[in-house]
Amino acid sequence: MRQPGSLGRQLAFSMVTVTVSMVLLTLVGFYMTYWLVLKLAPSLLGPEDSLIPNGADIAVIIVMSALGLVIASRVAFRMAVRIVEPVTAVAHAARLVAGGDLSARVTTGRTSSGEMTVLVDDFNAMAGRLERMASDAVAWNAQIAHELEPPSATAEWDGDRLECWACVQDPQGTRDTLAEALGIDKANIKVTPTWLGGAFGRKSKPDFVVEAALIAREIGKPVKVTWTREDDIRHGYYHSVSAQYCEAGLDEKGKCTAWLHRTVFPPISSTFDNSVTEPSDGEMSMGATDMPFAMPNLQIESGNARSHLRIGWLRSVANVYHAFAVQSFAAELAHAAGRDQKDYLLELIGPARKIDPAAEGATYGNYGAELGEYPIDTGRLRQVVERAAAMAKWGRKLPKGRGLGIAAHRSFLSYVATVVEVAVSADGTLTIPGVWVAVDAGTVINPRHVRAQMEGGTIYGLSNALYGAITAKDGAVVQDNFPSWRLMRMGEAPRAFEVEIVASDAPPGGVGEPPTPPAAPALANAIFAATGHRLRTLPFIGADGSKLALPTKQSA
Amino acid sequence: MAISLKVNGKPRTVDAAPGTPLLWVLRDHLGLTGTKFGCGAAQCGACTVHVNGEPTRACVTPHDSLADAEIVTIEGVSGAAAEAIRNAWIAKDVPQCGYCQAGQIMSATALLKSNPAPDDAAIDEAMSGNLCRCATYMSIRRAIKEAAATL
Repeated sequence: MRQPGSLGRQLAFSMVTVTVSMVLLTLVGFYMTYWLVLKLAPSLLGPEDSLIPNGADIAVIIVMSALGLVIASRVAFRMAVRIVEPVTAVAHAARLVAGGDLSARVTTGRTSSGEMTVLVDDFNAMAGRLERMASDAVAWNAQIAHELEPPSATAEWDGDRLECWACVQDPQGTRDTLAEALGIDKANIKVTPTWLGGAFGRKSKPDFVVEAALIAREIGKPVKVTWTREDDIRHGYYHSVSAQYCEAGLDEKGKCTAWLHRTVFPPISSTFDNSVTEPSDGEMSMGATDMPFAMPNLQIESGNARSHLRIGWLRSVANVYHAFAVQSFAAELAHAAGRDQKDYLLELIGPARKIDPAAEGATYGNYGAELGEYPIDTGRLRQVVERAAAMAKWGRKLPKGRGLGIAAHRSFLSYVATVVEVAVSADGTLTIPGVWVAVDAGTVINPRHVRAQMEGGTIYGLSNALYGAITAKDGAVVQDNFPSWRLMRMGEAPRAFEVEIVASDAPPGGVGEPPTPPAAPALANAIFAATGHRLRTLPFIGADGSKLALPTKQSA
Repeated sequence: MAISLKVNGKPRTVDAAPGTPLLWVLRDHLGLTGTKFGCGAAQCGACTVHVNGEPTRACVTPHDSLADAEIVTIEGVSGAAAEAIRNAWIAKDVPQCGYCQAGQIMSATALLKSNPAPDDAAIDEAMSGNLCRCATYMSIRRAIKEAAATL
């Protein structure tokens, strides 16, 4: 295609054309007119020595000037169209982009000037980059904490004293709740917690103990209440549904210079007061306001959401959806910048340093610990990333359909990085050949326990990410037992699993919850590496089948 | 109606409503609480016992269909395979909360009895009916392999 001349040259050329045309037209026009008049009607002319134009002279001047004006206007109008049309098109597309439609592009049918072509091309390239790297909306269906032992309680009422044996996480809180429910002094209540057959947050709420106690008082005999699996799944306390939005700006070298994270979820406190829609600082402190990336421009926003279910604590709580959004988006940015996922994650984390979210304006609780004793130390986060990558032999050649994904997250004062390897066949069947986890939990007393928690907490996260969905229809939870509410089984679990515990004499951090947050994003990043498809809505598979629903066309 | 069952090698007389699942007969009538309730629908394996040596879900098996059967629970399981599994379970620290583990051990013991050297596919097939919410699957696989090696 011929490149149109520059706007400046076109303008200068047009001005010269207009001027020359006007001069020529006037000269030639006058000569021709007077020649015709002399030939046909010399009587119309005035005396030869008169300098004052008569009526005929004035008519000639008017006609000639009008002709010149028409030609000049046409040239000027064409120039204006060439300049204004692309500017208008760019302005229109810019309005659409500003309004959120990142797919808007400038299309102009006419051949524009060089500067205008460059402007249009640049705008389209900019919008393309924005669209490519700016948005990451993820959704997480509600989850149920769920444990294999259903809620169960035995209560005995002897007239003025209550004794309960129950699988509760919080016997003191259970006593308080019972005192209020029965209207008796808590000095007259004894609660003995049993060994828990799993809890994961569910058994911090003693509703089933209250049920046993009320029945025991009513019938005056010891009563044991055991919920069915259907009771448990349909009347649980659910992990919050959430929507996450991330936006970032990359410079011309692909370095991330601006980060926006919006998070919306019904808060846990809505369970106790349904009018509450705003997340607490504590929930925001779990993976949102303590985001560890070195970012010159950083904004974390929360939105309000009304709850439609009872929201409860599920292993690692708000870290689950925040880590999924942040760590998935980090890998999306790496892809947009054409960089290796692990290298880019390390670049985002930046140099080893200690972060104080309060300095950025956040109210940060640090899990109840002093930042001096338990700092947010990006050096320790970098280290687990490097250890996990080394264990997984990051960068090795993989057969078609296989991919590695990495994610790292600090929660409950410990640092965990997870690499997941997936194998995805052409029909979307997924298996997990290997998982590698590096953990820095400070001083470790019982390494076997730490290893068990890393394996269990990771598979807990993988199980939720692949299968776990709670949905509601006509005001009731749809799922009721294991066929419709699905957990990962032996044959679906990772085939190999390696754990490295970083030697440290730092004060001990948690190990029960920290492995769960990085599991889902590491899995999503691995699926992207294997297939080129970015999965943003959880769960990826659901209750039925074993296949990922992959679009037929590349969606990267 | 009273009925006689053979549980862990001993005859037991049980008077339970017709059709009562074996699980509740074991727990509520015979006091054998090692067998756990997880789903009531043969989906989680927490209630696994052996009936004539076969791993069986007690929560969906009517007790009155077992008059002539050998019933073995976690309290009574014995033999070389059971011993190897028990030792490996301890050596590998398999249980976390422990709730599903009676069922896991019953399934793993039945596996080793029928296949003393199971490969990964055989372990997947034999153990995929037993859910573990703590996800001790990695430890279970290691322990089964270790137990097989000692047989």
